Amino acid sequence: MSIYGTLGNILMVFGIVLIAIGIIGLHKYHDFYIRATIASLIDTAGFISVAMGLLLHHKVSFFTLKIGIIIMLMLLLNPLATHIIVRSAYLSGHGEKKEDKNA
Amino acid sequence: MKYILRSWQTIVISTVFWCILNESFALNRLIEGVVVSVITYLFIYFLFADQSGTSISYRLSILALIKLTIILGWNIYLSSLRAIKIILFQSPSPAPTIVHVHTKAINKWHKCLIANAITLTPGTVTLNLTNDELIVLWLYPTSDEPNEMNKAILGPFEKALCERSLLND
Repeated sequence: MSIYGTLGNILMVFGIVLIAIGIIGLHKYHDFYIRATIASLIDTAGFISVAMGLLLHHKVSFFTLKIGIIIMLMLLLNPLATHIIVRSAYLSGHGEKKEDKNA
Repeated sequence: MKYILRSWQTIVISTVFWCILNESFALNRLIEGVVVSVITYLFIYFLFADQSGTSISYRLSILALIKLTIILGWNIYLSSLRAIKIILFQSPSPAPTIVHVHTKAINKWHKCLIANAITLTPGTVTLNLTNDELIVLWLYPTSDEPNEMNKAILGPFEKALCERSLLND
């Protein structure tokens, strides 16, 4: 396997680990705002790592260009979705609350 | 025709997108791409664009964009590691705080990019943007002092954008 293939595999595994830890975080905390901030760990770091791993794993082709477009669109649109959800909660008066459970 | 000539960059980028999605840069695909891009551009221009002359300038130097991307990538992974530490090893739950920070950016497009970068960084989410004030949800606040907060949340992104491009607008 080429060095790019190995690097790609490492990045993909790292991304999957980040996604797994993000999911643990979502189940561990019950406050909406904590969940919203932790969700970005899955959305951004996890997804970018997996997609970059895929980019490195394949030779330059239309497939990798499509992955590049997906990464770019994700970087522009994903924060927008998170922002809209959290902003709606903030404007509707959803307060910050302390977690009473030590999960 | 003048609308189309004014936005030739948008049409070129859209055509390249079209060709990549169709997996071909053949002449017929290029012509198809240009036609679809022009029609789409005209629809967007007449239906959604602000035609009063006060539309936003989307200009951004390539150097600033590359710098922002590198700084953003670095910050995403740095914040991810901090978030992982909190999720796995911090026993009492974190106390997210809503803080108000002030940006030096004067251009709406740059403010939008900064707000986007903040939300992309794990641990911070932009809640609202009014004039030069950003309301940010911060998972692990490290300071109460406004200057320190500005430095921690906005610092790297403002540095990438402000140094060159903001002075030009």
